[in-house]
Amino acid sequence: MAASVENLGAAWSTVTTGLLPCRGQAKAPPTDDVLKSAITVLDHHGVSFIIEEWFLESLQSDLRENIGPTFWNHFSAETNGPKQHGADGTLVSAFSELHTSLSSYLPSVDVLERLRTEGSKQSLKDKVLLIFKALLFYDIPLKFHGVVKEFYSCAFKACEEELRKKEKTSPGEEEGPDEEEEDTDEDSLTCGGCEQEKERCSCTETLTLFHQLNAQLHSLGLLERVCGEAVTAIIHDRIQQHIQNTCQGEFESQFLHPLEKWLNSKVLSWLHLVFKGTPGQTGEREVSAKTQESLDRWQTRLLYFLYQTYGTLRISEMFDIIVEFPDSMSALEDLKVCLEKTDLRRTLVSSLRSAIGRRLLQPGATTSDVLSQYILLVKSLRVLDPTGVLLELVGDRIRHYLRTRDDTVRKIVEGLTEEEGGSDLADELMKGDPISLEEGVEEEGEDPWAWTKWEPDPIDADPSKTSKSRRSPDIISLLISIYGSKELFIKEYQSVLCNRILSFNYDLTRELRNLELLKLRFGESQLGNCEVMLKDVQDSKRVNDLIKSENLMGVAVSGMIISAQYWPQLKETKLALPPAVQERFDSYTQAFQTVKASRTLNWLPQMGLVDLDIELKNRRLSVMVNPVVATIIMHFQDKERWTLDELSTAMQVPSSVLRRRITFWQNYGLIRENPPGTYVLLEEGADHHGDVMIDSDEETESATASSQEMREEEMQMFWVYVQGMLTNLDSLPLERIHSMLKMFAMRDNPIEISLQELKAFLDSKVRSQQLLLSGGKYKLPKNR
Amino acid sequence: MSSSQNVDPASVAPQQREKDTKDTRRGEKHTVSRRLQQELMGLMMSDDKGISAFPSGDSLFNWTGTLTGPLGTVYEGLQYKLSLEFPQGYPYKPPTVRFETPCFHPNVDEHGNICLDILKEKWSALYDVRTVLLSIQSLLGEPNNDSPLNVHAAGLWENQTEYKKTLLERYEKDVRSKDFS
Repeated sequence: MAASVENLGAAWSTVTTGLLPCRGQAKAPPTDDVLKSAITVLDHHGVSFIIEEWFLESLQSDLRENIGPTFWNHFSAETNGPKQHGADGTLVSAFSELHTSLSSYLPSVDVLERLRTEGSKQSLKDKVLLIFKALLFYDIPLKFHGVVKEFYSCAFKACEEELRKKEKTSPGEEEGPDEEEEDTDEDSLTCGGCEQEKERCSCTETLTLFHQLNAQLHSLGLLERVCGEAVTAIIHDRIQQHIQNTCQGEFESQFLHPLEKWLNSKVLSWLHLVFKGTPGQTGEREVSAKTQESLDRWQTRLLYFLYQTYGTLRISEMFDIIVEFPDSMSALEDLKVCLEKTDLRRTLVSSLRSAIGRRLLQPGATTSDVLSQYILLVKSLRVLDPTGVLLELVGDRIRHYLRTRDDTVRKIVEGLTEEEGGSDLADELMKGDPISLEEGVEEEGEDPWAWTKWEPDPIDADPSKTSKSRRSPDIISLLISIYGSKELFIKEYQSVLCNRILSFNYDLTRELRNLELLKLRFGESQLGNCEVMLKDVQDSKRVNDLIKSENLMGVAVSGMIISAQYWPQLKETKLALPPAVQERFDSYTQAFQTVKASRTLNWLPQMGLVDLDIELKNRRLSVMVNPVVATIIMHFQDKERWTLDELSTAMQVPSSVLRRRITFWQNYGLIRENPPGTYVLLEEGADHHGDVMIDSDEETESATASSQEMREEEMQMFWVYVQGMLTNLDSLPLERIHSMLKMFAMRDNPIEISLQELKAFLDSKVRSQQLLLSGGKYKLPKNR
Repeated sequence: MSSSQNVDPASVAPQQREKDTKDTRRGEKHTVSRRLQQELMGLMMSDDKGISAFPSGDSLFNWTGTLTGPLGTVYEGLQYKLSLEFPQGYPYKPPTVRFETPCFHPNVDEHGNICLDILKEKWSALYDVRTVLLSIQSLLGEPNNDSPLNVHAAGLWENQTEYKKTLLERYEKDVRSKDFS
């Protein structure tokens, strides 16, 4: 019994010394055979199971007490040391030491492995590695990450540099468009890899260390654990930087493909280098299926990151991309792919909305700018999202804003019928196959199989609207729908046309063509008036020619005969023409009466254009002016000095208007106000250059009642109704008034009023004491 | 008196009518609404002093009218509300007009019913809300004392001072006091 105990003791001591790595002991480890026999003895006594437990226990304590602290010492000892550039040895030496310590355990692990009974779930080696990782990394000093990152980013740069050198030496290889550093350092003295002078370049060393470390980490099974985070961060940085450098502000070519290529060729090859070692060299390692899988996952994640970064960049530049449309088409197409692969839609919407608010929707932008930007927005967002949901989400803001501008309608109409063909809207109008604006027109001959192609709306779509309503591809209809009614536009077009004709600033053929194009959109009936207007112009021309050719009169008066009913309401202002001119008008009228029997003319003397030649003592002037302006100067022909009142009586023009008109001649230096209220003709004066000049002030003033005035008239009508209502029904709340107006005043009229507008209007009446508001009800004041 | 304007064209051919009574009914109603709508607009746009009317609710067939007594008569300065009810056959049939404000007048009874020939046998499709209101307004100053509904008022009419006194007393009692209570 004692012998067996002794035997057991001896065997145990053999096993313990044999299995533990002999650190600093001179005694040679027992050979395998000795170890085996010792183990057999233990086995014989049925205590062999202790061995494994014991082994792991001692390993753990060794890790805790020796290996771990020694390892971490490397990083804390050097805290205050000078920051050495490039891959410093710390990391490598630390890990190589760690590697040595651990590998001393490995033979024993092998031995034990062989002893284990079959069917054990986990291999001992895995268990050891697990314990190792757990104990070593349960507490990591902050600095460690920094060191790792530093090391890997150096290695990455060095690696890139080497790759580039290789590429340079083999000119056959095609150079990608993304070689942005290519030209930067051809002559520079520093190495792109380690940023040191070329002679002292440490790239090669760095790379050697790098491979060494990777190999060690791999054998320790720590590769991903230690460097994963750092590598990801570095690659992310690199991707961001690369995208910034190559793509920022460049909208004219597609980048996604080159970027993907770049990612695969440069970045992923590096990743492979880390995990697989240099291909074809001694460092190459077999990659387990698991690592391969994680590499693949990594690749997908990086690709996603690439798309996300690129998408984010483009989204931040979206406003400029829209400005440059259609040159920025490529960028848009890239972004479209990005949006499909990532979830950046929401970011796009909010960022674009705020960019628009910041850069476009402010008083500094003219309405036509806002409009053209809106058109570009429509076109660009259609590229991104053919369903129109994005447009709806973003464009809303501009549409709301446009509604608040007074001149939107006029600008749209002007845009549609622009003089130069350059306007976007005119182009849009020219486009064939216009969609008629008739409401409720169903698409005919719709593909019966269309439902098979149905796709759900994107998730951010407003479910209360049909997808069809969004898909309307026509920009003009979109613009017109800002206001919800086309009557407004037709009226405005009529007034624009009227202004053009009356300021004699038109090209008949072009106007006719415009009219035809507009007819296609708005329908024949709506534009009947405009047609008559243009026909009037043609007829007038004929009549003028006739009157002239028959020599019925010898003066240069040409009439523009207007069929008053079809024209917009013209501002009626009085103007008494000088007798000499009036005579000619009368004779024209007579001539007209002979040409067109039983008809006569009602002149609108304030409209039109006068071609004047003025001769003064020392100068001559030739001007085209408004009749009022011309009449003023004609009066000065007879008399050099006029007071404002005298002139006003003679011309039957209010003095306020007159004063404004006279400034025209004051600007020319023909008339001087001296003393105030009295105007004197300057026979001699500084010669004024410029022979023919059209009064620019005149151009801006329109002959027709502006839409704002028209609106006021409409409001006046509503006011009459409101008065009628309140006279009979005493007092009513706002909503009731609104619904009554809707029922009784708006039924046959195209005009409309919103609740808010009505409230504002009624409140203004309350302020001017034409209405009383008490208890939420409006009423008329008593004793009116 | 059989003025041809008073014949509803829809009633001319009864056989035809039976076929699509519903359609014509709807159509009829539509044309009546149209006419009333136009009358309303005309009334709003006209500048008549002292008369006014407006639909009282959602229907175009019930209106409330307001008129003030004509200047120079005992009714000067007094305001009266009326109700106007338009039949489906309007304007071929007269509207039913009634004073809502109690009115002391030879031709108005205590329920507000008005005795006015043009609202009865002398109605013509050429009349409209405006003319009806104007007629009633002038009736105030020129009562028809031959067929009075209010005998007391008719008897009093000759003595204008006494009449005015009674009128104002009544108006005060029936209208103003209720208005301000």
